[in-house]
Amino acid sequence: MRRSFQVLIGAAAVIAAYSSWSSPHAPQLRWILTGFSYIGVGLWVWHRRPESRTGPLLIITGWAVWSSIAEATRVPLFWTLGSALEASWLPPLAFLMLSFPSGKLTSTAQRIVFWLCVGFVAVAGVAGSFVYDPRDFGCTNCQPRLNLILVHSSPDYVRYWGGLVVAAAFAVGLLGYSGWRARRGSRNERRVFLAGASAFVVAATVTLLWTSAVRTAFRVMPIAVVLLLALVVMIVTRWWRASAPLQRVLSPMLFPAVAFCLAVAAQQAIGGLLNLWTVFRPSPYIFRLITDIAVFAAMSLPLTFLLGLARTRARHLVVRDLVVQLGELPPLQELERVLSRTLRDPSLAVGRWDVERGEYVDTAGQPMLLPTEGSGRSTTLLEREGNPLAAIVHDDALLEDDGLLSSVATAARFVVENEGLQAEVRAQLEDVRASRARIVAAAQEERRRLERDLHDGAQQRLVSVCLDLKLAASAGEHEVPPQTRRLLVDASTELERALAELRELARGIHPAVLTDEGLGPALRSLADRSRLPTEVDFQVGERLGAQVEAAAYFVASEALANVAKHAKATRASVAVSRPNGHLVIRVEDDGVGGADPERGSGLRGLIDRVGAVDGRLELTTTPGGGTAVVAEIPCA
Amino acid sequence: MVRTALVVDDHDGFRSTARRLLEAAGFEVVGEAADAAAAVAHAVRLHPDVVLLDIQLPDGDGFAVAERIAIDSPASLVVLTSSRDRSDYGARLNGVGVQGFIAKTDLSGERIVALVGAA
Repeated sequence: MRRSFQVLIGAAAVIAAYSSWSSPHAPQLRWILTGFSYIGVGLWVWHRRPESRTGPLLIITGWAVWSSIAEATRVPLFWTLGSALEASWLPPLAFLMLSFPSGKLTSTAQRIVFWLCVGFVAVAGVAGSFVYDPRDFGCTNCQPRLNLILVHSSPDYVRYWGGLVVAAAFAVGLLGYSGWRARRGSRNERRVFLAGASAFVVAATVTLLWTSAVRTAFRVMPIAVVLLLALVVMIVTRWWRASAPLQRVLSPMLFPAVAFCLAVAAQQAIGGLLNLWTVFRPSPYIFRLITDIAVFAAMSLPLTFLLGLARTRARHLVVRDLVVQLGELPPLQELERVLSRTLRDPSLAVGRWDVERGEYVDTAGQPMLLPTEGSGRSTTLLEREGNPLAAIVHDDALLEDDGLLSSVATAARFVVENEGLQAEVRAQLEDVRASRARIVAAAQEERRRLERDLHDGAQQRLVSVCLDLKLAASAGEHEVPPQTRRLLVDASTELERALAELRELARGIHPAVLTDEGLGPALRSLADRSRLPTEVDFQVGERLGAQVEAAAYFVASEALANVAKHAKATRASVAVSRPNGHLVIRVEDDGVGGADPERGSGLRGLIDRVGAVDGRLELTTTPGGGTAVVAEIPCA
Repeated sequence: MVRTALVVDDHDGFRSTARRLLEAAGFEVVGEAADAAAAVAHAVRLHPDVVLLDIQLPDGDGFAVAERIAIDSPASLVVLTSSRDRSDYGARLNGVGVQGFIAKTDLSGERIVALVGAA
């Protein structure tokens, strides 16, 4: 549908361009083509952006361009219409050039210029037509009654008073409008408006008086020239002051807009001078050149609007890259950087919603102030299930392409959301790690207490009983019968064994030597008690944290127990060193190898135990080549 | 001359057993102490020939007491004892002022005499 529409417009343009060059009516045909250009582009923009004023404004401008050449038909109805609407393209075009792409005038100066344009058309065109008889102004072959709304053909008299009445009526309307605005606008806005309105009344009156006084054709050229030059200044300043994204959109139209305004201003000025000063005769070549510039600039303007809008669309393509870039979970600063680059808005800022503080915070962690309406900057809020996630503060120009902004916002929301979830997971992981460390520490403390209780309580009492039994057994023969002595000896021997087992049990629960003496002596004690010849190479000078020592000790004791149980080794070794902030403990044997960490809970428990102090455990085993257990525990 | 002995342990039952063992071996037990502070005070006052000293005391450990006694009563021979094993203490058993170590279950008159000489 859209494509066929474009083809149609293109074909019409080609035909019009061709005929305009070969026809004797070339000037009219060019303006017809220009009207096509506006209406075609306007329809397309309206179709694509129904919410934007740009489309309708372009169409209105196109019709206004067409109506301004209707005079050439010499059909009374069309002639009258064309005469009244001769400059009617000026207000919509001025509005377009000052408001593109938002379709909203943002400053008071812009509004004043626009309303001056409206006033100009009303006075020079509509009002002027009531007193304009073309035959009075040199159109000798114009038929009478060509102007259907002519009320008085005596140019001097009616022009003088009629002009004043029209100017006064327009001024009253403008003042009324400014009064209405004043109730809503700020004090400053009111002042500017009243000043603008007064200036207009004065300018209109003076011009009308002057033009009638010097008996020129009924044209109010000076006003047109001033208006067009004011437009040029405003267009250029607007482009100059625009934010980077807006400037990109405005750049294509800058040159044709300025060229058009200057060319038309030059046309009017030359026309005025011709009437004023009969000696002034510029070469027809220059006059034609200026006219050509005006026509081609006018013709190309809608296309440059189209190009500007396309520039906002072209950025859709980069959203895909953006999503890819953001997929790697950047922190907030990175997100801000990527968004700013993607949307070509260097001033773009991203704020994260801080749930505890109940406000948005920027990348530096400071509270973020959201822009107010009319400041030229807008906020796009990212939410999840109605809860605020983040805010993107950006240039108003980005609002023009709602699709782009919403795709980027969606991508950003995923990222922020994802980051939030990641942070949650990280926090939970941190919690779990801390609680695991606490659990291990508590368990260790509990074991230490248990060992101590065993030692201080039952063990002490049993030791005393054992010694008493031995003492009784060693009493003289006349005091203890032999049978009793034997029982006493058996009992004390049995009790000694029980005590030895109890001691071993207590040591397994927690070796006292580890707490009292540290890892080195504890490992040597462990090696001494091992059934295998075990070498200890301990290269750490100082005491380490209790958790680290305990973890390392249990690695050695569990590994040595496994060696004794499964490895069929002839010897084993324990080496402890402390390279760059890590405690490395290595237990090796020369046994049969083939240890499997998946089988049996001993190694699994060790891995957990080492993990609880952020360490890691590695098992290397080759069948027939022994087994090595290496634990690395951070202990900076 | 009968040799004197001081028994230091926080466990009443063990102290009386130890007293009987030592007396059976011919020592005269001149005092008993239940903690580190009392042990040092008794040793300084009584200058016993032998101090049978438990390593685990409520207010400190036997190694520190042995060092103190070595300074304040250098003639006293300190024999450490514990319900734990020799391997549980490592090199500290070779510390200053320590004559020797006997695990409590192995404690007997003969072992003490073997370490410090006859009564």
